[in-house]
Amino acid sequence: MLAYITAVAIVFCIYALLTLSLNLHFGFTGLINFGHVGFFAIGAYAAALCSLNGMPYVVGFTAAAALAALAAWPLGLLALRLREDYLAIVTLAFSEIVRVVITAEEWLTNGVQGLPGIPRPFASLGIGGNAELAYLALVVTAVVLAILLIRHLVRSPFGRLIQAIRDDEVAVKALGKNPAGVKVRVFMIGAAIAGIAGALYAHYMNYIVPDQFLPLVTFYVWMAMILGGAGSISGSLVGAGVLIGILEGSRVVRDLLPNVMQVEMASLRLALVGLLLVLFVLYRPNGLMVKRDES
Amino acid sequence: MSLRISNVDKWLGGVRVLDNVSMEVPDGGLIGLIGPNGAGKSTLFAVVSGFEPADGGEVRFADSPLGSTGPVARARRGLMRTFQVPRPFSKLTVRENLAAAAPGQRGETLWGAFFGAGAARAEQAAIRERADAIIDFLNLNAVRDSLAGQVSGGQRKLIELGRVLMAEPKMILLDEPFAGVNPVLQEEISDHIRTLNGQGIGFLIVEHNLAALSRLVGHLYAMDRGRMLMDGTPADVLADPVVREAYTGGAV
Repeated sequence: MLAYITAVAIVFCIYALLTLSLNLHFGFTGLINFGHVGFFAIGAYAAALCSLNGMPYVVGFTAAAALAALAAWPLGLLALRLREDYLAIVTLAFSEIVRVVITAEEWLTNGVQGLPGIPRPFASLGIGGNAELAYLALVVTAVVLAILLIRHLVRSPFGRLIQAIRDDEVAVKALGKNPAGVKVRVFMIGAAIAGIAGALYAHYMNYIVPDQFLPLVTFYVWMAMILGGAGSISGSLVGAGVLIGILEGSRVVRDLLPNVMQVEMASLRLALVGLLLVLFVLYRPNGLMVKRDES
Repeated sequence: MSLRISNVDKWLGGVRVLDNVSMEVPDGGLIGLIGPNGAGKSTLFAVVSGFEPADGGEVRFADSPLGSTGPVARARRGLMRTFQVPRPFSKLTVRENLAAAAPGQRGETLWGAFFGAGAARAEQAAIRERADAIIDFLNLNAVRDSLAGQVSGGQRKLIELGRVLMAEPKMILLDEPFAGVNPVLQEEISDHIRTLNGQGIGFLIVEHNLAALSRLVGHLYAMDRGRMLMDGTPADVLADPVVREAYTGGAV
């Protein structure tokens, strides 16, 4: 049981990191990023490849963050000068390109077969089940650091500026401030956090394949952010929690429904997620952790 | 710093919305611009503030041509605008709206946000003080800590004016400052404009409320269908048969 809870908690933390970073993009800056899984994938493969080539974990994690941020840079320069709906299309395409490239470049990524045998920190220390707990501690630390970083950012004058950009970009320009450079920076920071999430994921799963990085992941993260509340840090945690609750809870539900098969349950789970999203948009459009607008 | 608009043309979808438009706002001037709906006033504002490129002619500010510079560059030179429909940062407080407008903040860079904490704090304290002074001047004290998206329409106009003031303007293009504002607040806004003009800030004001505008400015320009009709004292312009016909379509 403890092993199960630990496992769920680790997955929760990874989704919390993704939700927090997406919230920095969309909730605080208004960037419509439909390709978050692309940065997640880059981080996962960067960390996995570094580890499998005998480099220390620190190098792998640094590479994961740096490469994800680096991928965000040209994307930002290209798309952030256009209207915001273009960013949505460009990022969605970007994440699919990442997945296709990972699938195709077999010499590097082993293609559809994926990368097996990715070592996990603490696993070789011979502390048995405590290794899982130690890894959980590492993942929790990452979430805490991400929260502190984002909170510091959004409370600074820089954070005030990004929220002004979110609320009205034209007005920001009229005041003599250039939104483009600021948006590129925010985009890179959020991508780096998603890259770290990818690295933590790869080391936890020990085995990654391109199919783990479908646009569905981006959709799940968006859902978690909307449920918790765009522009709310605590909302990111709550939203990720609700999401994991649904994904895990639907397993339990299957045990109670004897006539439902595994494949059917997967579809049912998506339907449930969709239904919940509809209910939220109807009754809590600002999410769980954001007060309803009076106006 | 004077604003000189010379022979400006602008085409939108095959229509000549600005046709050889010329006008001038002298250094520290207080000038009005009137015209019926569709006259091209808002387009002229968009061209002068750099949000729309001109298709011909020239805009000079402080005796240097603005060329094809964008809105950010023009605002930085001190040529600033407000919008017909106010554009508040709706999820920031009124005070934050003003503070966000202060130019050249060190804390707004990533480096400053992370490593310049001490310097940024002092800078922000000074900015808050300035913002509070402007909030006081504009009588916005009661809503200082309210979200800008939740205050009244008239107060949003004042927030826009306050934001522009924070950005240290030399000349302000005001787009319908009295629209949707009750008469008491209209008088207040007029007083603010007079005070600021007395401090040397130039104004070009587009306004449909001709009575309120005539009391405020000493010189009026009148436009219709993309062309400048005439300019002169408010009494002369409003009495002119061509201007009257533009407004009434010849019915009077």
